[in-house]
Amino acid sequence: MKNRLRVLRAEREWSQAELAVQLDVSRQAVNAIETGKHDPSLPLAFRIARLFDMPIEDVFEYEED
Amino acid sequence: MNDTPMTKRQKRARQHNVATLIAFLTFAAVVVQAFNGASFYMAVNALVVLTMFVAIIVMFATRTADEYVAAIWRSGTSVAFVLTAAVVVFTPFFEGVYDGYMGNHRNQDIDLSADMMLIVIGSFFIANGWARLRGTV
Repeated sequence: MKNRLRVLRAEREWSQAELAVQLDVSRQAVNAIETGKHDPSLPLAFRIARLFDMPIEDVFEYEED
Repeated sequence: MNDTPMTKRQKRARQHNVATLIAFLTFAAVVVQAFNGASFYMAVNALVVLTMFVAIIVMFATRTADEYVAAIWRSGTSVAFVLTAAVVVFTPFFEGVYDGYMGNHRNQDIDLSADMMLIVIGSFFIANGWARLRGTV
């Protein structure tokens, strides 16, 4: 699953640590999501979308295998 | 320097990561001792194994710190479980094949009592490291 998390974070000039605090996850989790090494759960995906005040499909893009 | 205050959940995730590193290093020391013949003093050896066990308990206690930590933990435990089941099921089979080939039905040629710990914990760390490097997807 692709996502725009790194771009959205950079636009707001947040560090991974600052974003992690706002999402209440570890910085490693933010890094893993940004690099596509971890697909977030649905609740976390919604939290991310709400934090950026965007629809979830504008943050995450589902890819067929 | 990053001075962003950590949440309780993030502190638990950090505890998990530090415990994972300590457990891995102490496990590596056990492997070195087992295969390279390094002879630690008995007390040092006991301390190393005890430290590894305590670190694994901390890992277990903090395995749900956040969903990424939980996913990494699941990767390690899943592989360790499958490998343990495979070893337990297939070792007697290979022992029988080996005994039949050698014509020796009395001796236990494949003794896993000492190696089982290395196989199980080693497979956990391999899968854990793989998940950290290559992802949980």
